[in-house]
Amino acid sequence: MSASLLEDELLFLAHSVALEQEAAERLYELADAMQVHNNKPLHDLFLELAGFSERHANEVQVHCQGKALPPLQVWEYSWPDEESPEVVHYSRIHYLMTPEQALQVALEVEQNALNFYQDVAQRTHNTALQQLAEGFAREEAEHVQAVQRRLQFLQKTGMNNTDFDPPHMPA
Amino acid sequence: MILKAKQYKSGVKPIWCPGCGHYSVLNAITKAFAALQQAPEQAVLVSGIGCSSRLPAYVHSYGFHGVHGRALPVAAGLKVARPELNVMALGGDGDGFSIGGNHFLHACRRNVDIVYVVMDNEVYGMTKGQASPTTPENWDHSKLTPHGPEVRPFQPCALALAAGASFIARGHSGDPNGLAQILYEAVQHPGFAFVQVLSQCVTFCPEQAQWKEIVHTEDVCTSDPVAAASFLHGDDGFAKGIFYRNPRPVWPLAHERKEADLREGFRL
Repeated sequence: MSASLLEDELLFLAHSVALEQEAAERLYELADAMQVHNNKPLHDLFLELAGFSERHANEVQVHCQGKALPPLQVWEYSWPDEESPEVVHYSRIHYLMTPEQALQVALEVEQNALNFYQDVAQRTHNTALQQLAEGFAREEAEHVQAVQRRLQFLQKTGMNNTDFDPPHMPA
Repeated sequence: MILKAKQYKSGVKPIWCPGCGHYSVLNAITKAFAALQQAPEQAVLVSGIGCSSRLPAYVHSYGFHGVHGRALPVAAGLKVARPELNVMALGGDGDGFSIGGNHFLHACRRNVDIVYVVMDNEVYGMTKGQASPTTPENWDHSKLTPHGPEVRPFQPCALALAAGASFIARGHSGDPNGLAQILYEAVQHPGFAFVQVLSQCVTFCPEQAQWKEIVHTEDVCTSDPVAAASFLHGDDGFAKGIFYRNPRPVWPLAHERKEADLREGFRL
Protein backbone atom coordinates (compact mmCIF):
# COMPACT_ATOMS: atom_id res chain seq x y z
CA MET A 1 0.00 0.00 0.00
CA SER A 2 1.50 3.35 -1.04
CA ALA A 3 2.20 6.14 1.45
CA SER A 4 0.11 8.60 -0.57
CA LEU A 5 -2.95 6.33 -0.34
CA LEU A 6 -2.66 6.50 3.44
CA GLU A 7 -2.70 10.30 3.51
CA ASP A 8 -4.64 11.49 0.46
CA GLU A 9 -8.41 11.41 1.00
CA LEU A 10 -9.26 11.69 -2.71
CA LEU A 11 -6.86 8.89 -3.60
CA PHE A 12 -8.40 6.74 -0.87
CA LEU A 13 -11.91 7.44 -2.18
CA ALA A 14 -10.80 6.54 -5.71
CA HIS A 15 -9.55 3.21 -4.35
CA SER A 16 -12.78 2.65 -2.40
CA VAL A 17 -14.95 3.26 -5.47
CA ALA A 18 -12.82 0.90 -7.57
CA LEU A 19 -12.83 -1.72 -4.82
CA GLU A 20 -16.61 -1.83 -4.61
CA GLN A 21 -17.30 -1.52 -8.34
CA GLU A 22 -14.82 -4.23 -9.30
CA ALA A 23 -16.26 -6.53 -6.65
CA ALA A 24 -19.77 -6.06 -8.05
CA GLU A 25 -18.64 -6.46 -11.67
CA ARG A 26 -16.79 -9.69 -10.92
CA LEU A 27 -19.81 -11.11 -9.05
CA TYR A 28 -22.13 -10.24 -11.96
CA GLU A 29 -19.65 -11.94 -14.28
CA LEU A 30 -19.64 -15.05 -12.11
CA ALA A 31 -23.44 -15.04 -12.00
CA ASP A 32 -23.50 -14.96 -15.80
CA ALA A 33 -20.98 -17.81 -15.99
CA MET A 34 -23.06 -19.95 -13.67
CA GLN A 35 -26.23 -19.16 -15.62
CA VAL A 36 -24.56 -20.25 -18.86
CA HIS A 37 -23.63 -23.52 -17.14
CA ASN A 38 -27.16 -24.07 -15.84
CA ASN A 39 -26.11 -23.78 -12.21
CA LYS A 40 -29.15 -21.84 -11.04
CA PRO A 41 -28.45 -21.90 -7.28
CA LEU A 42 -25.01 -20.39 -7.84
CA HIS A 43 -26.33 -17.93 -10.42
CA ASP A 44 -28.93 -16.70 -7.95
CA LEU A 45 -26.41 -16.52 -5.12
CA PHE A 46 -23.76 -14.58 -7.10
CA LEU A 47 -26.46 -12.27 -8.44
CA GLU A 48 -27.63 -11.55 -4.90
CA LEU A 49 -24.06 -10.92 -3.72
CA ALA A 50 -23.45 -8.69 -6.75
CA GLY A 51 -26.51 -6.61 -5.90
CA PHE A 52 -25.20 -6.32 -2.36
CA SER A 53 -21.81 -5.06 -3.63
CA GLU A 54 -23.40 -2.69 -6.10
CA ARG A 55 -25.49 -1.07 -3.38
CA HIS A 56 -22.36 -0.59 -1.34
CA ALA A 57 -20.56 0.87 -4.38
CA ASN A 58 -23.39 3.40 -4.70
CA GLU A 59 -23.08 4.27 -1.01
CA VAL A 60 -19.37 4.94 -1.46
CA GLN A 61 -20.14 7.09 -4.50
CA VAL A 62 -22.22 9.36 -2.26
CA HIS A 63 -19.04 10.28 -0.37
CA CYS A 64 -17.44 11.29 -3.69
CA GLN A 65 -20.06 13.76 -4.85
CA GLY A 66 -18.56 17.12 -5.77
CA LYS A 67 -15.02 15.79 -5.42
CA ALA A 68 -12.57 15.41 -8.29
CA LEU A 69 -11.12 11.94 -7.81
CA PRO A 70 -7.74 11.34 -9.43
CA PRO A 71 -8.06 9.46 -12.73
CA LEU A 72 -6.07 6.25 -12.33
CA GLN A 73 -5.29 3.49 -14.78
CA VAL A 74 -6.19 0.04 -13.43
CA TRP A 75 -2.51 -0.80 -12.87
CA GLU A 76 -1.91 2.40 -10.90
CA TYR A 77 -4.01 1.38 -7.89
CA SER A 78 -2.08 0.44 -4.78
CA TRP A 79 -3.69 -2.82 -3.64
CA PRO A 80 -2.23 -5.26 -1.12
CA ASP A 81 -2.52 -7.94 -3.82
CA GLU A 82 -2.64 -7.93 -7.63
CA GLU A 83 -6.39 -7.27 -7.71
CA SER A 84 -8.58 -5.17 -5.46
CA PRO A 85 -9.27 -6.87 -2.12
CA GLU A 86 -12.97 -7.61 -2.58
CA VAL A 87 -12.64 -9.21 -6.00
CA VAL A 88 -13.18 -12.97 -6.16
CA HIS A 89 -10.14 -14.50 -7.87
CA TYR A 90 -10.93 -16.69 -10.86
CA SER A 91 -8.70 -19.41 -9.44
CA ARG A 92 -11.19 -19.87 -6.57
CA ILE A 93 -14.12 -20.63 -8.86
CA HIS A 94 -15.14 -23.95 -10.37
CA TYR A 95 -18.15 -24.88 -12.42
CA LEU A 96 -19.12 -27.58 -9.92
CA MET A 97 -18.73 -25.48 -6.81
CA THR A 98 -21.51 -25.57 -4.24
CA PRO A 99 -23.32 -22.63 -2.63
CA GLU A 100 -21.41 -23.33 0.57
CA GLN A 101 -18.07 -23.08 -1.25
CA ALA A 102 -19.24 -19.89 -2.97
CA LEU A 103 -20.20 -18.35 0.37
CA GLN A 104 -16.82 -19.30 1.83
CA VAL A 105 -15.13 -17.41 -1.03
CA ALA A 106 -17.53 -14.46 -0.56
CA LEU A 107 -16.68 -14.43 3.15
CA GLU A 108 -12.95 -14.33 2.36
CA VAL A 109 -13.23 -11.35 0.03
CA GLU A 110 -15.50 -9.43 2.42
CA GLN A 111 -12.90 -10.07 5.12
CA ASN A 112 -10.17 -8.85 2.74
CA ALA A 113 -12.07 -5.60 2.19
CA LEU A 114 -12.58 -5.21 5.94
CA ASN A 115 -8.84 -5.74 6.51
CA PHE A 116 -8.01 -3.16 3.83
CA TYR A 117 -10.15 -0.44 5.40
CA GLN A 118 -9.00 -1.29 8.93
CA ASP A 119 -5.39 -1.18 7.80
CA VAL A 120 -5.85 2.28 6.28
CA ALA A 121 -7.71 3.52 9.39
CA GLN A 122 -4.92 2.30 11.67
CA ARG A 123 -2.00 3.63 9.63
CA THR A 124 -3.18 7.01 8.38
CA HIS A 125 -2.30 10.31 10.05
CA ASN A 126 -5.15 12.10 8.27
CA THR A 127 -8.09 12.37 10.70
CA ALA A 128 -10.76 12.85 8.02
CA LEU A 129 -9.46 9.88 6.09
CA GLN A 130 -9.33 7.80 9.26
CA GLN A 131 -13.00 8.49 9.98
CA LEU A 132 -13.92 7.63 6.42
CA ALA A 133 -11.96 4.35 6.51
CA GLU A 134 -13.46 3.42 9.87
CA GLY A 135 -16.95 4.02 8.51
CA PHE A 136 -16.27 1.82 5.48
CA ALA A 137 -14.75 -0.82 7.76
CA ARG A 138 -17.91 -0.86 9.88
CA GLU A 139 -20.01 -1.44 6.76
CA GLU A 140 -17.70 -4.24 5.63
CA ALA A 141 -17.95 -5.81 9.08
CA GLU A 142 -21.73 -5.91 8.63
CA HIS A 143 -21.23 -7.63 5.28
CA VAL A 144 -18.92 -10.20 6.87
CA GLN A 145 -21.56 -10.94 9.49
CA ALA A 146 -24.32 -11.17 6.87
CA VAL A 147 -22.36 -13.71 4.83
CA GLN A 148 -21.48 -15.63 7.99
CA ARG A 149 -25.17 -15.84 8.94
CA ARG A 150 -26.02 -17.06 5.47
CA LEU A 151 -23.28 -19.66 5.63
CA GLN A 152 -24.42 -20.91 9.04
CA PHE A 153 -27.98 -21.23 7.76
CA LEU A 154 -26.78 -23.24 4.78
CA GLN A 155 -24.70 -25.52 6.99
CA LYS A 156 -27.67 -26.11 9.31
CA THR A 157 -29.83 -27.16 6.39
CA GLY A 158 -27.39 -29.97 5.64
CA MET A 159 -25.89 -28.86 2.31
CA ASN A 160 -22.22 -29.77 2.04
CA ASN A 161 -19.20 -29.66 -0.23
CA THR A 162 -19.60 -33.08 -1.81
CA ASP A 163 -18.67 -32.98 -5.50
CA PHE A 164 -21.25 -35.31 -7.04
CA ASP A 165 -19.73 -35.19 -10.52
CA PRO A 166 -15.97 -34.66 -10.41
CA PRO A 167 -14.02 -34.08 -13.65
CA HIS A 168 -13.19 -37.34 -15.43
CA MET A 169 -9.46 -36.99 -14.94
CA PRO A 170 -6.88 -39.01 -12.97
CA ALA A 171 -6.36 -37.69 -9.47
CA MET B 1 -17.66 10.47 -23.94
CA ILE B 2 -15.15 8.46 -21.95
CA LEU B 3 -15.61 4.72 -22.43
CA LYS B 4 -15.25 2.44 -19.40
CA ALA B 5 -13.84 -1.07 -19.58
CA LYS B 6 -17.22 -2.75 -19.25
CA GLN B 7 -18.50 -0.77 -22.24
CA TYR B 8 -16.02 -2.67 -24.40
CA LYS B 9 -17.82 -5.93 -23.59
CA SER B 10 -20.44 -7.17 -26.00
CA GLY B 11 -23.75 -8.46 -24.67
CA VAL B 12 -22.72 -12.05 -25.37
CA LYS B 13 -22.11 -14.09 -22.22
CA PRO B 14 -18.91 -16.18 -22.35
CA ILE B 15 -19.38 -19.93 -22.26
CA TRP B 16 -15.95 -20.62 -20.75
CA CYS B 17 -15.90 -22.75 -17.62
CA PRO B 18 -16.41 -20.66 -14.47
CA GLY B 19 -12.93 -19.93 -13.12
CA CYS B 20 -11.26 -20.09 -16.56
CA GLY B 21 -8.32 -17.72 -16.91
CA HIS B 22 -9.65 -16.43 -20.22
CA TYR B 23 -12.23 -14.29 -18.37
CA SER B 24 -9.29 -12.44 -16.91
CA VAL B 25 -7.72 -11.93 -20.35
CA LEU B 26 -11.03 -10.59 -21.64
CA ASN B 27 -11.10 -8.13 -18.74
CA ALA B 28 -7.49 -7.13 -19.35
CA ILE B 29 -8.21 -6.41 -23.01
CA THR B 30 -11.25 -4.27 -22.19
CA LYS B 31 -9.27 -2.45 -19.50
CA ALA B 32 -6.41 -1.79 -21.94
CA PHE B 33 -8.89 -0.53 -24.54
CA ALA B 34 -10.42 1.77 -21.93
CA ALA B 35 -6.98 3.10 -21.00
CA LEU B 36 -6.29 3.75 -24.69
CA GLN B 37 -9.85 5.01 -25.30
CA GLN B 38 -9.78 2.73 -28.31
CA ALA B 39 -12.60 3.49 -30.75
CA PRO B 40 -14.54 0.18 -31.00
CA GLU B 41 -15.08 0.61 -34.72
CA GLN B 42 -11.33 0.93 -35.26
CA ALA B 43 -10.39 -2.30 -33.45
CA VAL B 44 -10.50 -5.80 -34.88
CA LEU B 45 -9.92 -9.00 -32.93
CA VAL B 46 -8.99 -12.01 -35.06
CA SER B 47 -8.88 -15.51 -33.62
CA GLY B 48 -8.36 -19.12 -34.61
CA ILE B 49 -10.12 -22.07 -33.02
CA GLY B 50 -10.27 -23.17 -29.42
CA CYS B 51 -11.71 -22.01 -26.10
CA SER B 52 -9.67 -18.80 -26.11
CA SER B 53 -10.53 -18.07 -29.73
CA ARG B 54 -14.11 -17.38 -28.70
CA LEU B 55 -12.94 -14.09 -27.22
CA PRO B 56 -13.74 -11.76 -30.17
CA ALA B 57 -17.44 -12.46 -29.69
CA TYR B 58 -17.28 -11.05 -26.20
CA VAL B 59 -15.70 -7.71 -27.12
CA HIS B 60 -17.54 -4.69 -28.49
CA SER B 61 -15.42 -4.26 -31.62
CA TYR B 62 -15.10 -5.94 -34.98
CA GLY B 63 -14.11 -9.58 -34.77
CA PHE B 64 -13.26 -12.54 -36.97
CA HIS B 65 -13.43 -16.07 -35.55
CA GLY B 66 -11.31 -17.73 -38.18
CA VAL B 67 -9.68 -20.99 -39.12
CA HIS B 68 -7.66 -23.23 -36.78
CA GLY B 69 -4.11 -21.88 -36.50
CA ARG B 70 -4.70 -19.18 -39.09
CA ALA B 71 -5.44 -16.13 -36.95
CA LEU B 72 -2.07 -14.57 -37.77
CA PRO B 73 -2.22 -14.59 -41.60
CA VAL B 74 -5.77 -13.24 -41.48
CA ALA B 75 -4.77 -10.53 -39.00
CA ALA B 76 -1.64 -9.64 -40.96
CA GLY B 77 -3.57 -9.45 -44.22
CA LEU B 78 -6.17 -7.23 -42.63
CA LYS B 79 -3.54 -4.89 -41.20
CA VAL B 80 -1.77 -4.60 -44.55
CA ALA B 81 -5.03 -3.85 -46.34
CA ARG B 82 -6.38 -1.53 -43.64
CA PRO B 83 -3.37 -0.06 -41.81
CA GLU B 84 -5.54 2.46 -39.95
CA LEU B 85 -7.17 -0.35 -37.94
CA ASN B 86 -5.88 -1.63 -34.62
CA VAL B 87 -5.58 -5.39 -35.18
CA MET B 88 -5.16 -7.93 -32.41
CA ALA B 89 -4.81 -11.65 -33.07
CA LEU B 90 -5.78 -14.08 -30.33
CA GLY B 91 -5.69 -17.78 -29.67
CA GLY B 92 -4.47 -20.61 -27.53
CA ASP B 93 -1.23 -22.55 -27.28
CA GLY B 94 -2.41 -25.38 -29.53
CA ASP B 95 -3.82 -23.02 -32.13
CA GLY B 96 -0.76 -20.78 -32.11
CA PHE B 97 2.19 -23.10 -31.59
CA SER B 98 1.05 -26.36 -33.18
CA ILE B 99 -1.51 -25.90 -35.95
CA GLY B 100 -0.38 -22.32 -36.51
CA GLY B 101 3.26 -22.74 -35.49
CA ASN B 102 4.70 -21.84 -38.85
CA HIS B 103 2.58 -18.71 -39.10
CA PHE B 104 3.85 -17.68 -35.67
CA LEU B 105 7.50 -17.83 -36.78
CA HIS B 106 6.91 -15.86 -39.94
CA ALA B 107 4.70 -13.28 -38.26
CA CYS B 108 7.55 -12.60 -35.83
CA ARG B 109 9.98 -12.32 -38.74
CA ARG B 110 7.74 -10.13 -40.89
CA ASN B 111 6.99 -7.62 -38.10
CA VAL B 112 3.54 -6.52 -39.26
CA ASP B 113 2.12 -3.99 -36.79
CA ILE B 114 -0.27 -6.27 -34.89
CA VAL B 115 -0.57 -7.66 -31.36
CA TYR B 116 -0.67 -11.42 -30.87
CA VAL B 117 -2.07 -12.66 -27.56
CA VAL B 118 -1.67 -16.36 -26.83
CA MET B 119 -3.71 -17.63 -23.90
CA ASP B 120 -1.45 -20.48 -22.85
CA ASN B 121 -3.02 -23.08 -20.56
CA GLU B 122 -0.70 -25.87 -21.72
CA VAL B 123 -3.61 -28.01 -22.85
CA TYR B 124 -6.21 -28.51 -25.57
CA GLY B 125 -9.21 -27.66 -23.41
CA MET B 126 -11.98 -27.57 -25.98
CA THR B 127 -11.28 -31.17 -27.04
CA LYS B 128 -11.21 -32.40 -23.43
CA GLY B 129 -7.65 -32.10 -22.26
CA GLN B 130 -4.95 -33.39 -24.59
CA ALA B 131 -1.29 -32.36 -24.41
CA SER B 132 -0.35 -29.24 -26.40
CA PRO B 133 3.06 -27.91 -27.53
CA THR B 134 3.56 -26.15 -24.18
CA THR B 135 2.47 -29.04 -21.93
CA PRO B 136 5.16 -30.04 -19.42
CA GLU B 137 6.86 -33.24 -20.52
CA ASN B 138 5.77 -35.15 -17.40
CA TRP B 139 2.10 -34.03 -17.39
CA ASP B 140 0.29 -37.37 -17.16
CA HIS B 141 -3.31 -36.17 -16.73
CA SER B 142 -4.48 -37.27 -20.15
CA LYS B 143 -5.26 -40.85 -21.09
CA LEU B 144 -3.71 -40.16 -24.49
CA THR B 145 -0.32 -39.46 -22.90
CA PRO B 146 -0.36 -41.57 -19.73
CA HIS B 147 3.36 -41.00 -19.13
CA GLY B 148 3.21 -37.35 -20.21
CA PRO B 149 4.14 -36.03 -23.66
CA GLU B 150 7.78 -36.96 -22.89
CA VAL B 151 9.04 -34.15 -25.10
CA ARG B 152 10.29 -30.73 -24.12
CA PRO B 153 7.62 -28.03 -24.20
CA PHE B 154 7.87 -25.09 -26.60
CA GLN B 155 9.49 -21.93 -25.22
CA PRO B 156 7.25 -19.34 -26.93
CA CYS B 157 9.07 -16.18 -25.82
CA ALA B 158 12.51 -17.52 -26.75
CA LEU B 159 11.14 -18.64 -30.11
CA ALA B 160 9.59 -15.23 -30.71
CA LEU B 161 12.93 -13.56 -30.02
CA ALA B 162 14.84 -15.91 -32.30
CA ALA B 163 12.27 -15.41 -35.06
CA GLY B 164 12.48 -11.61 -34.87
CA ALA B 165 9.54 -10.36 -32.81
CA SER B 166 10.15 -6.78 -31.75
CA PHE B 167 8.04 -6.84 -28.55
CA ILE B 168 7.90 -9.85 -26.24
CA ALA B 169 6.02 -10.06 -22.96
CA ARG B 170 4.33 -12.49 -20.63
CA GLY B 171 1.33 -11.90 -18.39
CA HIS B 172 -0.74 -13.99 -16.00
CA SER B 173 -4.50 -14.37 -15.78
CA GLY B 174 -4.21 -13.98 -12.01
CA ASP B 175 -3.13 -10.39 -12.59
CA PRO B 176 -5.57 -8.81 -15.06
CA ASN B 177 -4.47 -5.29 -14.14
CA GLY B 178 -0.81 -6.05 -14.82
CA LEU B 179 -1.81 -7.77 -18.04
CA ALA B 180 -3.85 -4.72 -19.05
CA GLN B 181 -0.72 -2.61 -18.69
CA ILE B 182 1.28 -5.03 -20.86
CA LEU B 183 -1.46 -4.96 -23.52
CA TYR B 184 -1.61 -1.16 -23.31
CA GLU B 185 2.10 -1.08 -24.15
CA ALA B 186 1.81 -3.84 -26.78
CA VAL B 187 -0.93 -2.03 -28.70
CA GLN B 188 1.20 1.11 -28.88
CA HIS B 189 4.31 -0.76 -30.00
CA PRO B 190 4.99 -0.26 -33.72
CA GLY B 191 5.51 -3.79 -35.03
CA PHE B 192 4.70 -7.36 -34.07
CA ALA B 193 3.99 -7.54 -30.34
CA PHE B 194 3.83 -11.01 -28.86
CA VAL B 195 2.15 -11.47 -25.46
CA GLN B 196 2.08 -14.91 -23.88
CA VAL B 197 -0.52 -15.15 -21.13
CA LEU B 198 -0.41 -17.93 -18.56
CA SER B 199 -4.16 -18.53 -18.44
CA GLN B 200 -5.27 -21.36 -16.22
CA CYS B 201 -7.57 -24.18 -17.31
CA VAL B 202 -9.54 -24.97 -14.16
CA THR B 203 -11.16 -28.05 -15.63
CA PHE B 204 -8.32 -30.07 -17.14
CA CYS B 205 -5.34 -28.57 -15.29
CA PRO B 206 -6.74 -27.59 -11.88
CA GLU B 207 -3.19 -27.61 -10.53
CA GLN B 208 -2.64 -24.37 -12.47
CA ALA B 209 -4.48 -22.54 -9.68
CA GLN B 210 -1.07 -22.72 -7.98
CA TRP B 211 0.44 -20.50 -10.68
CA LYS B 212 -0.63 -17.52 -8.61
CA GLU B 213 1.91 -18.55 -6.00
CA ILE B 214 4.85 -19.09 -8.37
CA VAL B 215 4.46 -16.40 -11.04
CA HIS B 216 6.92 -13.59 -10.39
CA THR B 217 7.42 -10.13 -11.87
CA GLU B 218 10.71 -9.46 -13.63
CA ASP B 219 11.74 -5.92 -14.52
CA VAL B 220 14.17 -6.88 -17.27
CA CYS B 221 12.86 -5.06 -20.33
CA THR B 222 15.69 -4.54 -22.79
CA SER B 223 16.24 -3.58 -26.41
CA ASP B 224 19.35 -5.77 -26.55
CA PRO B 225 18.56 -9.14 -28.14
CA VAL B 226 21.60 -10.75 -26.53
CA ALA B 227 20.50 -9.67 -23.05
CA ALA B 228 16.93 -10.80 -23.79
CA ALA B 229 18.18 -14.17 -25.06
CA SER B 230 20.29 -14.60 -21.95
CA PHE B 231 17.30 -13.89 -19.73
CA LEU B 232 14.90 -16.10 -21.68
CA HIS B 233 17.41 -18.96 -21.73
CA GLY B 234 17.34 -19.06 -17.94
CA ASP B 235 13.64 -18.27 -17.67
CA ASP B 236 11.59 -20.71 -15.57
CA GLY B 237 8.47 -19.96 -17.62
CA PHE B 238 6.75 -18.12 -14.78
CA ALA B 239 8.37 -14.70 -15.06
CA LYS B 240 5.97 -11.96 -16.13
CA GLY B 241 6.59 -8.54 -17.55
CA ILE B 242 7.83 -6.98 -20.77
CA PHE B 243 11.05 -8.77 -21.65
CA TYR B 244 12.06 -7.22 -24.97
CA ARG B 245 11.13 -4.11 -26.89
CA ASN B 246 13.16 -3.09 -29.90
CA PRO B 247 11.22 -1.26 -32.64
CA ARG B 248 12.40 -1.97 -36.17
CA PRO B 249 10.91 -1.27 -39.61
CA VAL B 250 7.35 -2.51 -39.90
CA TRP B 251 6.28 -4.61 -42.86
CA PRO B 252 5.15 -3.70 -45.46
CA LEU B 253 7.81 -1.02 -45.93
CA ALA B 254 6.68 2.35 -47.28
CA HIS B 255 7.67 1.72 -50.91
CA GLU B 256 5.91 -1.68 -50.89
CA ARG B 257 2.76 -0.10 -49.51
CA LYS B 258 2.67 2.28 -52.43
CA GLU B 259 2.91 -0.57 -54.91
CA ALA B 260 0.38 -2.74 -53.13
CA ASP B 261 -2.80 -0.95 -54.11
CA LEU B 262 -5.29 -3.73 -53.56
CA ARG B 263 -8.11 -2.01 -55.41
CA GLU B 264 -5.88 -1.70 -58.46
CA GLY B 265 -4.79 -5.32 -58.22
CA PHE B 266 -8.32 -6.67 -57.95
CA ARG B 267 -9.92 -4.44 -60.59
CA LEU B 268 -11.84 -6.53 -63.10
